[in-house]
Amino acid sequence: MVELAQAFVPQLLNLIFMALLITNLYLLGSSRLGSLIWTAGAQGALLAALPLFPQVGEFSTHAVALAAGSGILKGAVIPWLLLWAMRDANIRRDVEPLVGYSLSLTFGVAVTGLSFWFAEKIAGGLHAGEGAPFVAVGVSMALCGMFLIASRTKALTQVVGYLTLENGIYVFGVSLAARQPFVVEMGIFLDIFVFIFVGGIVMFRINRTFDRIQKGRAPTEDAP
Amino acid sequence: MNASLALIQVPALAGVACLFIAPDKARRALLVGAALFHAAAAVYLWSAPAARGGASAYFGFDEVGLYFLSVTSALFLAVAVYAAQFLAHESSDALQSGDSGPLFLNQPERFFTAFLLFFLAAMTAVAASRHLGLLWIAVETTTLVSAPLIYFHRRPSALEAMWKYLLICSVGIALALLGVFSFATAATQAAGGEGALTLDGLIGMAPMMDRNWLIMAFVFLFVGYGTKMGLAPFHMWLPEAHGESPPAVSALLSGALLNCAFLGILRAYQVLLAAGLGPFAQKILLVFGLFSMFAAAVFIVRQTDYKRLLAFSSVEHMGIMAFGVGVGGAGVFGAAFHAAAHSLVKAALFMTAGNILARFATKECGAVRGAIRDLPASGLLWVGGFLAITGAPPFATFLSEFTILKAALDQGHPWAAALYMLLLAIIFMGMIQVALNMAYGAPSVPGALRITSEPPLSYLPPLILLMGALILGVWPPVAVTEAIGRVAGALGGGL
Repeated sequence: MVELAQAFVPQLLNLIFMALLITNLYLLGSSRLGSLIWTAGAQGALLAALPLFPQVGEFSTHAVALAAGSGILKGAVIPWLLLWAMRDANIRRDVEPLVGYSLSLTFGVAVTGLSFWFAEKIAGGLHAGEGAPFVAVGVSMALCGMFLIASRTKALTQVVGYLTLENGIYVFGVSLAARQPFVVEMGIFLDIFVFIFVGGIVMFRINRTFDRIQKGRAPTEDAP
Repeated sequence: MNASLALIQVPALAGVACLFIAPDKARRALLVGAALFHAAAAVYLWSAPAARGGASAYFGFDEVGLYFLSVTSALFLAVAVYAAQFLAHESSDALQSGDSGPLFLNQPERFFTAFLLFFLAAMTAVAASRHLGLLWIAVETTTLVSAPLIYFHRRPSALEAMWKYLLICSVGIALALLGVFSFATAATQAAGGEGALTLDGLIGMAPMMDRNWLIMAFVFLFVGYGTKMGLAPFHMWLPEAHGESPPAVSALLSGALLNCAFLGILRAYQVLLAAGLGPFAQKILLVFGLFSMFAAAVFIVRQTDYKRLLAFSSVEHMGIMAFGVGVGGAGVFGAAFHAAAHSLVKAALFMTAGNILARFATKECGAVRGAIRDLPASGLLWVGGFLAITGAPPFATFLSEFTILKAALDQGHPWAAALYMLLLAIIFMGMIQVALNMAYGAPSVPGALRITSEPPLSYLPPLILLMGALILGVWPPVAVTEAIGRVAGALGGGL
């Protein structure tokens, strides 16, 4: 039984990494805001499981608390908040990209490949090589998140991009969780921005930012 | 006794109190009072090393932190006095923005005052942090508490500026966190267990750390804090935020906040220096410094909005500071000196711009004429400030820019030095022309040619700051140059 678990656990970790990379690409290719938010939520739930793996550190109350906390926050509270904002602010459901979906996907694939090359190069020595996939997946998620922020005009889509960036940073940092207390937890301070963004979108009815059409034009043009 | 905590707590508590104080005058008095306390405490700390907090504390001041704190503190005192006057003259009725903008209201004054004080507390925390994680949290806090200040004038363009500021700086701060994580990884690896993220711990262990991780940490922190500092090409938030903020806030953003972000980069630079990776970091600082000056020059020439002109000039000066550290040697001294010189002059200019805006009701350079005849004190300050900001001789900015130029030649960067000179010359010509056009000639306000009364508190704070820049340029006190010399020494440079 123990041997079976020992053989199974590394595979499960790889499976989670695979799933995270797939959600990444799905975010870049999706055209519906609602499914974008659901995907970001799934991503949050997936990465909440990471602190529990032996590759990250010993099983401890700290690890369980971290997993539970990030699962509730990233997998439930924030996606729910985003869906609520979408309904409350009456935002149209399409994503409105500046860069087409197929080009976005190409970018995602290229960035993922580069991240693995980069992680192998830099993190080869980390924790006897176990850290490299954390760095690779984390960096590729962070870059895809930044790409979403830059290439989508709708404010709420940009918040999803920011969430992906933040999730990537979490994956990057979680391999430090056991050895450096309160380092991954610092990522929670980034969630403050998400709450502020959602609050701003609802309060000020911000629909679109970075209108490149006219300088000084209000972001609130769709306000009732 | 560790006095550094009091410097964070007092402004923060005063800010909380402002939320509950109803009379406007009492609140404004508290703002100025807290600023006075802060400035007095900063002066006291120079004379009392024992009160600065030990090296093991999370919060405390080394001379680098104390130097940046002092610049912030002096600036905040001037801005607080100016803001009290400004708020007394701002009407609480609906206002017309600029030329033909929509009607808008101002933010309730109690929030504005409170966030100004929170902003001071957060910037103090940046200067006092002895731990890279805490430093990161402090820098994030400065973003959070300064964003509402940008939206003081509640009009759509200010909302957009605030939103852009939040979005771009939040990405920057996220990247900086990757840098902090990279430092943590390098420290953990080197220590074989829990490695400390304190500045002294990192510097002590730097020679044992993995070079790749240190390089990655520096690059992420440079991009992250560089966004906040306004280095090109990460400066996109800066022109709008500075253009839309009320004058007191523009002065603080430009004169104090950008320096705080620079301090964040310098902390990472200190670790790389200790690891023997100084030349790598210097290369990055040099290239991005010159690029920032170039980008600023492109936008300064033919700029039509004078507040944006000043904002792009801040991009230029941040570039000069990065360039100075990048060339090394005496350039580091020049950069540290320039941090103070630029702050004094730029804050004075933004406050003066506020006076001009209040009188002429336009941010268009071309629509303002004859400021000297219409507003004698502000008009003269405008010309003097522009001479100072472009590095004209008697001012401190000349001294620092010249020191950096000489260092670039001494350290064997003749081409970089030539480019630096060329860009300074282009910016000088672009800016001086605007200032002269606005200052001289017949006043463009209808019904002008009468001397309008300027309240003394609207021009005295900028005048005092500009005099400070003049004194530092003509006769820099020995104590000050010695202190800056020690700061430069801690950053691997010196005369």
